[in-house]
Amino acid sequence: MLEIGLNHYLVLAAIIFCAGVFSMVSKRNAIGVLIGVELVLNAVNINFVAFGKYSGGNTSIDAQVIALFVIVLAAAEAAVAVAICTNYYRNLNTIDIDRGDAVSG
Amino acid sequence: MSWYEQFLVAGTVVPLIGFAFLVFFGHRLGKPLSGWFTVLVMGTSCVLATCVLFSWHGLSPADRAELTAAAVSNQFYWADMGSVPIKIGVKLDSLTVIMFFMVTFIATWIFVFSVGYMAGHSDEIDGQSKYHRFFTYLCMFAFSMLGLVISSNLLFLFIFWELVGLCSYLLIGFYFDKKFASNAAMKAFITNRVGDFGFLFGLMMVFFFLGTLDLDQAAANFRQQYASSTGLFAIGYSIDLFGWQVSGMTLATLMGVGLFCGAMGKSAQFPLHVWLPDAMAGPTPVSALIHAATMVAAGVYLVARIFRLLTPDAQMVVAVIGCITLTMTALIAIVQTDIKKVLAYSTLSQLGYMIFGLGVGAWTAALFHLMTHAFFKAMMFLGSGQVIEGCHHEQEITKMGGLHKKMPVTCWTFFIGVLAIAGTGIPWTGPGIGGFYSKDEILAAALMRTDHWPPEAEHHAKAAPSDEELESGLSYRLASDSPEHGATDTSAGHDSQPKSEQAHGPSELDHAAAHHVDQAALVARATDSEHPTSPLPKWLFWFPIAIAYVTPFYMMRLWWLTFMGKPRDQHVYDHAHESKLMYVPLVALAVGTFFCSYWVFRPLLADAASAATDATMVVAIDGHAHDADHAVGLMLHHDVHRDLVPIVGFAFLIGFGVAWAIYRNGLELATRISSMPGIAFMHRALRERLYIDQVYDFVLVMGCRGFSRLCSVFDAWVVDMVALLCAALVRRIAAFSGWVLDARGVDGVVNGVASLTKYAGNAVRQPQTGRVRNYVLFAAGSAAVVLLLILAGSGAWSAVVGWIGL
Amino acid sequence: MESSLLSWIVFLPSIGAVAIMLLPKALTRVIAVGTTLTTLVVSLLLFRTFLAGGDPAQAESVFGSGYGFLHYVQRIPWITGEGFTIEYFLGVDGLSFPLLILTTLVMFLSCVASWNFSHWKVNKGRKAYFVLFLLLETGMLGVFVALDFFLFYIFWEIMLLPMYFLIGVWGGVRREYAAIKFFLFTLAGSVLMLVALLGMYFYSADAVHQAMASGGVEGIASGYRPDVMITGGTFDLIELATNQAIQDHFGAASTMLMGFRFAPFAFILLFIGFAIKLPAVPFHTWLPDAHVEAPTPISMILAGVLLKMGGYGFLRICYPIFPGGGHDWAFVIAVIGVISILYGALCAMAQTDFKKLVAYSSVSHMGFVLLGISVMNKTGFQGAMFQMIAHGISSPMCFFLVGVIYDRAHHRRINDFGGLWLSMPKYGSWATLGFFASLGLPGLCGFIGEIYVLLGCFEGRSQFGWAVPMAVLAATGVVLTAGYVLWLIQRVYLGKLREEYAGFPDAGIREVFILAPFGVLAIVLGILPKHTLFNFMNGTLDLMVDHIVSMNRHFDLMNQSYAMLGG
Repeated sequence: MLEIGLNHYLVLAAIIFCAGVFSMVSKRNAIGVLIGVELVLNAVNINFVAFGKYSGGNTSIDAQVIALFVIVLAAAEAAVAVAICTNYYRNLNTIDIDRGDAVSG
Repeated sequence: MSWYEQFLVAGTVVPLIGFAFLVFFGHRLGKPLSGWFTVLVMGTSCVLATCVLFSWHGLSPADRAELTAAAVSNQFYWADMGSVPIKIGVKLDSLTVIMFFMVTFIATWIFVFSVGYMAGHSDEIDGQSKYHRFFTYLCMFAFSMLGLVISSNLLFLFIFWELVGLCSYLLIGFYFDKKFASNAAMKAFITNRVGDFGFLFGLMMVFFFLGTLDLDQAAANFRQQYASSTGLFAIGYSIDLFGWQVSGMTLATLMGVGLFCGAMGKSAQFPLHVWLPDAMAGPTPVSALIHAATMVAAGVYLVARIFRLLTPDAQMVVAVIGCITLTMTALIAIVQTDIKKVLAYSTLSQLGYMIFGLGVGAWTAALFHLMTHAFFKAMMFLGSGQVIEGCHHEQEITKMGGLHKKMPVTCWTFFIGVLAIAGTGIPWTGPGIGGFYSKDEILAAALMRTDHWPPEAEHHAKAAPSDEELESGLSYRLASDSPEHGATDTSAGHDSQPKSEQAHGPSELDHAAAHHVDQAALVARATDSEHPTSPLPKWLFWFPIAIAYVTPFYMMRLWWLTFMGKPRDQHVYDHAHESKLMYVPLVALAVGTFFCSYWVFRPLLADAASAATDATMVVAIDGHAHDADHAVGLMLHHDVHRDLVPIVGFAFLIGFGVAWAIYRNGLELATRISSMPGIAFMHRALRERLYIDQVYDFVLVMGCRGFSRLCSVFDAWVVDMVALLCAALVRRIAAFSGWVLDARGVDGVVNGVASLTKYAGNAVRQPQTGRVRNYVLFAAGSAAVVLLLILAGSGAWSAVVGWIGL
Repeated sequence: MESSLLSWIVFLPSIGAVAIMLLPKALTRVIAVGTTLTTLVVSLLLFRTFLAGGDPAQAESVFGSGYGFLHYVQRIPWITGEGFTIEYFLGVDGLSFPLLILTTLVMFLSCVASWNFSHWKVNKGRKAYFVLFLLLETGMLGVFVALDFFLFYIFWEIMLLPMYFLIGVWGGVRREYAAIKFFLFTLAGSVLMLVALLGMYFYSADAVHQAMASGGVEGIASGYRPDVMITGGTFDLIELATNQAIQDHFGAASTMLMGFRFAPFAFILLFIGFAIKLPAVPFHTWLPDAHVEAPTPISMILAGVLLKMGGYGFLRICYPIFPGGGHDWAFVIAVIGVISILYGALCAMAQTDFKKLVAYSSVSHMGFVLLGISVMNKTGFQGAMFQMIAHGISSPMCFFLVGVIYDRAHHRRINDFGGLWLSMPKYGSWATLGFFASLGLPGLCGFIGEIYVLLGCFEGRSQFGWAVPMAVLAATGVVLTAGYVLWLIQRVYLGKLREEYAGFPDAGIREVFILAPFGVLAIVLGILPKHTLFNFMNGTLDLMVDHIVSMNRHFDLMNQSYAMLGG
């Protein structure tokens, strides 16, 4: 039986990260992009926690604290993002993010 | 200041105050009050002048000289020119006193006349009454004229000179709604300005060579410079006038002639005489006051004042100009038919006599003629004004005739004037009136200068002491003859030496010490005398003599055609009337003509002459008459004058007779004569005033205007064009440098850098789509690439491969 | 002696301009007139200093014993750099004093003449108009009191711009053309002036350094200020004129600028700069255009004050600093002067536009200034200066007279007028006075200037062989002047009353208020020139002439000894 080690966490995190990025890149729906962002953030969380368990001392809870920060920030970010989405919709009558290219160079 | 000066100044200032008052309140005083106000003002002046005259008359010559000298010290420091102070003061001498009286007296009566003249519609310009304006001008004129008379300084003389010119301009152009009137005014002013140009030139020379503008001082310096060969007469000194080197005597002559130019303008001498006949466009009282009696005489007055600055050559010029004028204008007067024009030409002719008189050295006689002429000519002009006003502004004598019944006072006062101008008197013994004394004296002087010149030596040998002889023989001042000298010396109670000193003029008293030095220098100079005075050419005598016959002729013609014979225009005749306000002045002036002039003026003038003519090179024949009694006696018992009787003594009778013969029955005979072949041509030329006006119009006026047009075109098309061309050129250069040099050269480099940046910018901006997804992709992709690179760098790559390959 | 009075005079109008900008539009005119009036009153305070000038005993306390005696001096280092100092240096003497008073007076009266601004054809921007108007006054006053060349130059340029806008915005039909023309002509002049300015600065530095080196001293004594040492170049106009070391260096034959001898070359640069302003033929063509297009008050200023700056420049800068140049170019200058007199008069005679005629008459009158200056003697300088003041009185009056009639008739064609004296008697009388003053009638101001110039020119005969013919030619100008002025009067004021002008109102109170001071001054100056003007300026002018003459004599000696040494 394969023992679950650090690498497994990291690979999982990498997969979730890639899925998140893929979602951000491929989705034209703003909500989809948001979900992608959540995935990316959570992938990172996994990394933090995994590194915390395997490389820090047992007494250290730094990793968990950072993860908790990220979760809180992610919640806040999600709230802001949804608000942006609402306004975006109000202005453009859509949440297709490709339509919002007014800042192009 | 002695009370004489105070009175004279007050008499001058009173009209000025009147003027200022009328300027501000004239329109409120209205008609006729402002006229009477003016009379009051002038009357005040006249009373002051009369006081001065009679008091002055009673003084002894010595007292007068003392007062004259005292007046010099009361001068007002007016300004500096460079560093030379200019002082002004009152020139107090007999000439001033007489002129002052003459001007105020005549002016007062003319102002009275004006009130009458303007009472009708004569004060209207285009239907508007300008009554007070007329009197305002008159006040101004009186002030300026009196200022001119009392000025002791050439510059101030010039200033007042111009002011009378201004008044003359305003008054000639009084009816300025009429084109000819404003034209005449302009002509008068500009012609005078031409004269003033010469005057200015003379003034400059006086100022710089004689170092002063004071009349007496200038004369003293002139004499001194001549004696010591300095300044103007410095040997080897010359000035360059357009390449013409002028020096010494010629320079002095030029100075005199320059000053005389001013007199030519004001006294309307040929060739500047053209304005005076036209000036008759003004109201008739103005013609009487300004253009007959006073202002035009200012030129003569000026020549009299500067007499001591005239060289023999300059005097010659004066004489010639006077002779030409008196001859030409008298001839023109014969054919004029406008009553005022005849009088105007006769004025010109008489002014010519005065100028001529000064030119031949008859100083006293010329000024005396000025006085007598002022009275009788003012009177005749007023008479003509009466006629014109009475005939409703009809001026053609061809339409008059028989007016003596309607205007008896005018007629007979006018006749007195005719007698006076003709020089009527009983030959050999006198008495006579007006010109009998004054004109004949001028002619006598002319005869002497042309015939008995230089005076025989024995005259001097008889009476004059040797010093005197030395002076008159060596200098060019030549006393008339010995009886005069002898009488002078004894009656004035002087011996010869003080006399000769006093003769240099009061202002020169302080030079008395230098006198003998001057005498010695004169002796030295006279040995190589460059300017011997020779007799004047004979024609200078014969022309005036001939005109002495013409004068009675045209005056009688005028008088006869106007007042005698049958009325030629019933309409004019029916309306003719006489106004009392206007004939009272006529009578007053007629009385003046008869009595006043001879017994008071002539002696005083003779007194003035001694101071005014005694200079180094002046040829003054009657300049030495010191005492009045002698001078009177001189004229009546003078042998030269007696010589004249056969020549001119009966001229007035002959002139009157011929005129009467021709015009006795109206104009038919005259018309027939004038259309005779040969005469017709002359008649036309004279009627056209010898075409002088036309020539001036064509050459000068048109020439000047044409030239000015040319200048203006030149200015617009050449000077301005150059500026515009410069501007265009600059613009062209700017365009070249802007579009060619700058845009392709300097700007090319700059633009190159700019466009490079732009291209780069464009390239960089391509990924900036503004789409979040792209950015994420880039970010992720870049992160991936970086990661890969790091891995590759650290050699972990193989580990990964190895791990995957696991 | 330090006093800020002059600064107050100069900058009072600026303060007024600021006030106009800040306060409501309704107050604009009142503030402007109030400001100019205050400036006039304050400038009249200067009289108390100069009043004693006529008394020979006290003249020295007013004018000093040498050129460079100043009153109300204000001297503050302003811009200092490595080796140079530009000073804020104001002062007044007999030369600038009359011009200062003239400026404040003309400005006040022309401000009153602007009172009917709302009736003008271009009547927008009232605030801007008066602000520029007041700025213009600051510039002009500054030119007359600045004694540091740099400061002078700055004021000179400051004055230029408001004038440009005043003509270009509120002018007639061709206003832009006229404004540009005015601007460019003057600017061309100031460029030449700038070259001379720099040259003068650097050569004065050379001179001082040489003197210091040869004397082995730390500084040389100032030419006119006791107890002051100079250690470098200077922009001080009086110092440049009076310092012997600087003068020697300027006048030396070996001092060259761009291959020409410095003194004559710099003189001619400055001369052209000022001659454009004067204006002298052939630099005069901006003047008729500017006058014709400018609104009446601006024409008054242009003729009354701006033209005087040229003459002032000659007297303040050209002649005292380059006396040798003045001597070398005397003939040319006199010829230009005479040509200006005659040519201006002839051109005036041919004009049919009322304003253009008066403008050309300005050219003619200013020719007298040039002629008077050219002979470099006391009478000539006095005459030139008097002529400037006299013209500063008569020509604004004439322009205002034109303006009065233009306000009513809305055209200026001389030949279409006639009989105005009948419909407007009061105005006609003032007009006669004004035009006779311009004609140079004795007893009025124009005459004194002309006769002094003529006499001065004649006096110059001992130095210059051509002086007498020049005087004679110039004197013919008086005949021409009489010609065009009288012809003008005849065509406009005399003649029958024309129907179209019959209903014109006579001159109103405001108009008489403007004409009266000019008219009264014209008479008073003509009758009592000494007590009204000469007393206040002759001291300085005489000292200046003495200075010029002694400098020229010094140069003659220097050149002789130079030639002797060389030969």
